Amino acid sequence: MGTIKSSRFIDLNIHSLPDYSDSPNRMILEAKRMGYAGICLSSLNPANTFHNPENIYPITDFGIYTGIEIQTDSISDLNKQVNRLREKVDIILIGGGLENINRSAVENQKVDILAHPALHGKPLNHILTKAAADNGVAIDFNIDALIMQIKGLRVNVLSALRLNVRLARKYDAPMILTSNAKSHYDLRGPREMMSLGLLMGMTHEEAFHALSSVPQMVIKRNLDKNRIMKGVEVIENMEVAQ
Amino acid sequence: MKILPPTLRESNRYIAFSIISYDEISRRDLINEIFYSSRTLLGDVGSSEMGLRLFSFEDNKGIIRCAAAKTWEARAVLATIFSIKNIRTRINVLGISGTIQRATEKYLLTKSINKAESERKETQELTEYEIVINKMTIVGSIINKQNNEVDLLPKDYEYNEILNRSNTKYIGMTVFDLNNKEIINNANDTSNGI
Repeated sequence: MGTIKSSRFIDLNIHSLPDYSDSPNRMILEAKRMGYAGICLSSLNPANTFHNPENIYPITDFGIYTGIEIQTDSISDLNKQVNRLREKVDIILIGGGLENINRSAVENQKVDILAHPALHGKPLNHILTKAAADNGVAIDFNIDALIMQIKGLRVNVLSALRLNVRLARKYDAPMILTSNAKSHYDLRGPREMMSLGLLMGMTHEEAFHALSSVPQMVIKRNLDKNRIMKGVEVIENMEVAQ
Repeated sequence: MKILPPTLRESNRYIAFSIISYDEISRRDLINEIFYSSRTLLGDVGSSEMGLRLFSFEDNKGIIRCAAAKTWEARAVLATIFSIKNIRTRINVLGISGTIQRATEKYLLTKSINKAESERKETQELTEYEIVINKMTIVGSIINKQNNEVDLLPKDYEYNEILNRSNTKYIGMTVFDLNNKEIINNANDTSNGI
């Protein structure tokens, strides 16, 4: 499979030190060694979204993006935080799991990724998936559900993720594979992530795009300065003659 | 008795892997964990179709055999292992090959990997090092140092909460995080540290 070797894989949900136990540099080093082309360091606390850039590892050809995973259980707080942080970070993730949070996340155009939507083993439904497809919110398939959970909950989460795959395929919602890593022991190589994606019911191509082209699309649309919102773009700056 | 003709033999693939953990893992524990993982993930039927077998395992690197059509499942089985005997572990698949010889040549005898493993030293240095990440300072002693990667045991109990949340024993970092500059000078001058 030559295409796997030459493509750029990006993991968009990796947590580092203020929240969990590994420093940003360690995560960058390990991810680079595993063959990733970029990672998103998403923090749980809005106060420390910026991982001080002067101490970052001297690494070339590697994309480091800042992100925030908003974890809340009230909808008004979620919308407030999204509006406040949209301009400050590259990628906004919503830590899902609750039904109302899942719903308000996929209905918000400013949200990029709905992370771990099947946290408690409850799948999405057709309405939420359709909204996600309309608003361009990527549905996350977190592999740590398969790695860290055991027995009954693992079975429930896996079957919920299977249903999510089917729904996302039907309504053409973007699927994304992330590791949700809490330490460098949770990171997995791109092909291992793909293999766990296959167990969730994805096809080879879906798993491949969920790790390469969908994250690239998410990053591209956020770093693009000409993009204002979905469907509105600055094509050319024309100076108005007075 | 005639030997089994080549057309009837099973076609196999050989997975070269390395283990990343902060302690030594014995061969027996690794085998137990792999089969446990395979049984919980795929069940007895799936495991029997895959035909996993551990061949060589030394210096935290080894070779596993699996059926040719089941390489993705074998990768998934190796990926779902997260601890061996309560030691946090990650199995890193280096590559897959059609013969043992080729897998060894291509993935296990590579110079950079050999070098990285041979320089692994487990020192119990009790001198304290300081790091500053996002305006927070952590003081602790270095447990493992391997190339540019450093495992640090924090001195304060308040960081135990972080370690408990992420199920690890040490804080993982690189030499570039450390405040003591003399250890940076000892760092390997490999390109990008890789």
